[in-house]
Amino acid sequence: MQELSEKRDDVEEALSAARERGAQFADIRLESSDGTSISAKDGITKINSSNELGAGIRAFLEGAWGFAYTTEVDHRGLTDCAERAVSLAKAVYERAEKFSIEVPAFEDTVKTAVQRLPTQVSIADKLGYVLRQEREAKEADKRVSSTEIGYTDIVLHKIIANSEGTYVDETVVRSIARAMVFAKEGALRQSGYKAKGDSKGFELFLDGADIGRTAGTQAISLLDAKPAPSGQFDAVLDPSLSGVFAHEAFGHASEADAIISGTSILAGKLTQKIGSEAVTIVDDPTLPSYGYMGYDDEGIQTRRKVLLERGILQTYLTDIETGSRLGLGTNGSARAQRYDAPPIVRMSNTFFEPGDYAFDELLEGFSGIYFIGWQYGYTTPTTGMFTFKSREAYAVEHGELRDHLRDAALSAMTLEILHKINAITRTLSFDPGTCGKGGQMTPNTTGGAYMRVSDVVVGGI
Amino acid sequence: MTHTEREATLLEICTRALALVDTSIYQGEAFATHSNSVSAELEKGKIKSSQSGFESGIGIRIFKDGSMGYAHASLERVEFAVKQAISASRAGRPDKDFKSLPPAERYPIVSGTWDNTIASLDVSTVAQLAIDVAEASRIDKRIDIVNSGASVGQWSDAIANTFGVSGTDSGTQAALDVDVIAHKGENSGNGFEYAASRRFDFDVDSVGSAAGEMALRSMNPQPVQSGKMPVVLDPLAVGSIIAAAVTVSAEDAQRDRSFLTGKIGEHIAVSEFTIVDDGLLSGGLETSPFDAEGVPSQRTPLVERGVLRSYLYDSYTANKEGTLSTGNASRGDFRQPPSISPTNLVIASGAEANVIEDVGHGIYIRATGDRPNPSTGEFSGMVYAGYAIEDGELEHALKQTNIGIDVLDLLQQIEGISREVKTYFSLTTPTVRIRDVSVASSG
Repeated sequence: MQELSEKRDDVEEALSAARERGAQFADIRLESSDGTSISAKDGITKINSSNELGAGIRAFLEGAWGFAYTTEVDHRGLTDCAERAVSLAKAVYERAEKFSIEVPAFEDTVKTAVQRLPTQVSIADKLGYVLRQEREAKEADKRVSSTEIGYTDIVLHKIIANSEGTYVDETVVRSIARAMVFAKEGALRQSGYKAKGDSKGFELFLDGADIGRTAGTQAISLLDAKPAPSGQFDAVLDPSLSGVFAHEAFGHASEADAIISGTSILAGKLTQKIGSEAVTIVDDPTLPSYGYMGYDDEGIQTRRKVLLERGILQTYLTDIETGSRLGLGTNGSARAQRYDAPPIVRMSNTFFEPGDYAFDELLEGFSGIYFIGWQYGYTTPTTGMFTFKSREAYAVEHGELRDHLRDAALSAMTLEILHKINAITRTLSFDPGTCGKGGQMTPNTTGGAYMRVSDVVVGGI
Repeated sequence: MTHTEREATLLEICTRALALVDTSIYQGEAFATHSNSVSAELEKGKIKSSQSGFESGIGIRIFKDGSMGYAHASLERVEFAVKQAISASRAGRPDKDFKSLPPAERYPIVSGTWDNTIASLDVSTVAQLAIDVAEASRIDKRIDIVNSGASVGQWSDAIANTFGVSGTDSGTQAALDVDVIAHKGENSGNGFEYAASRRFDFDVDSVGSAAGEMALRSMNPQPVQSGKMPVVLDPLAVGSIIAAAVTVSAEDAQRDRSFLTGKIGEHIAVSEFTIVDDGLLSGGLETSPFDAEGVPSQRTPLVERGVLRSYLYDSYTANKEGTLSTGNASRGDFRQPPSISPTNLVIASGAEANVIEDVGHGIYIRATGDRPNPSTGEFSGMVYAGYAIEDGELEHALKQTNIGIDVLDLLQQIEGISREVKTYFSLTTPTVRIRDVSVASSG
């Protein structure tokens, strides 16, 4: 691990250089990371050791941002980079929309509390976990034909400082493992998936819970599943799908950069009722889940944000720029993939608050499709039309599970479906994932409980 | 430093790294790269930000008895990266299917991959390009919101391994994107267009106006009557559905994870359908003299007149099967070891001047975000942007419409291929009409 804590003078001098060159505001993110990725595909291992050191610097001038990055983090490298960021802003600011920004300042040092720091766990132990999951997956059934287990950890140390006096020193630790298992019977092929990830160290994998067998069992069970029907149905979503719903169909629309650029269906809807009483959606970076951050990538202390409360839109996710332009202030929602990308408005841990139903009550008298597990999903931001595909599903008749279904897709319009959510269970659970926006990937968590929705479009084959 | 001088420096760093590898125990590969880029982003017609970045680094791949260790670092920390990769390779499991990294070979000469204009562009010019494409999209007073972006970049790479592979390459690339929203009263429509090229040769007006036209056409979406009907795939949708389905990595085939496993030599599509992976395509975005492990690039027919001819191979999967690599090892950046992926894909054009004129009732799919399930070959997905076709004409935009079909059925039901082709990123393809697809629509 590179020692960043001794760089305060260099960082502050680079920020002064940016101010002297004409920036109205400048900030810097200095990052150093150590990580390990291990994959095992049908017994073949690949081990990737990752070390990064670099800095990204932004300069703000009358509504324009210049951003530059460097891997040379000595005094001269940082100052040169700061000067480049200022020249970029100067080259374009005359063609920018003019606005000013409000920047709250923070000074703090925070560290993720972990029991087993990944940098102090041997590769052999990490590989042992991966190979154990592989074995569990293969042992799920004779028809398991191929397995793929991935493991990634990172210890990320960041200094975030700006020309308004912010100086935040944060160390984040994250670990995740994923199992993808394929099964084959005759010409039929199916796959199963399970992931487990948190802002934790290696202790995450010591609880005995396995992902390999779960994914393997799912793949096997899908071998005799039927294609999903298409048409209009009532639906029950499991926690992983309702979590993706919160993230994809609603969360992205609540990002304030989309509000400003005119690409969100939630523009102009603050304080309006856009969903049923049953619906409360929260983004909370302070939870110790995979999307955790104590400070955002603009050095703002993070907090829990209730975006939608009992159907009423409360706020957007904002960063310094969008919070200033919308008059809402920043609520600490800026994130960057790495030092070499500028922070943009992002979600963290996003979820539906649980309701007061028991699962059995949800299914009572229900006929429709019960969706389980998430494959992928996406949204058309300007219309709010979205779709996501489940791993498996069941046709349900009068509360009884009937046909087991594969590859069922659900599509709806966000502003319509939020009114159609009529029941949510008491049990909240979370799934780790990776979210892509503007070419940047960030670790996220999505969460929810079981949720019942009326009248959605189901697509099958 | 010119790009040729840069290449020499990078190659020297690779050679220095490999000198640290004990070749009696290990096989090693070093990949070094240097790139820089400039970009600008426009929000509602005004500049929002500009960026520039220099990036360089080295990626080291070490094999010990087939166990792969990988590490990357900045160019100043080569020795550290080699040590990390060696210790990672020692921790993994041996793999008897691993034979060897590729041997040294002569590289073909590629063309159209470097443009001095791009290499000398400054941020102000790039910002102006983003402004110009935004202006070009304003073809009607209903065009309301325009967001756009432009970027240019250049890079130099070097690769070497302990079997004498030694290669360098440099390239340039420019890209442009525009996203448009049209409004009238409560109605709105979204349009977009992209362009990417190795040269600075954009037709900014046609890129902008295509996005504007799409936004206008996408207003007032309506459902269509559900049922089986002809579906016309725009080049963008051909990429998501057909090209994605038929480019199968040998890794997936060998692990029996693809619906095309074991089908080499079989007629999987109509005889008018041909798709080639062409790493040598002049001016192609993925064109280079060699792939990510230093294997010479080549032109590989994947489906030829309907017959499945090849999967995509890297050296590992080729050695495992006793065949030759197709030069399809690829890497996103120096942080990742190579993995198999297509280079430039080219689908052969057909004979039709107008693929929609004979459609009485059907749909046109401009884009979908869905992909076929690679293990089953089943496709079900949402029409992200599309239009009804009535009596040979494009009509209203589609609302909440899904389609579903088995790709093997789809490939046999291709009944019209346009004469005209379009290139989106690394795919060049005609527009394609499918005879009979189930379409479900509502709202």
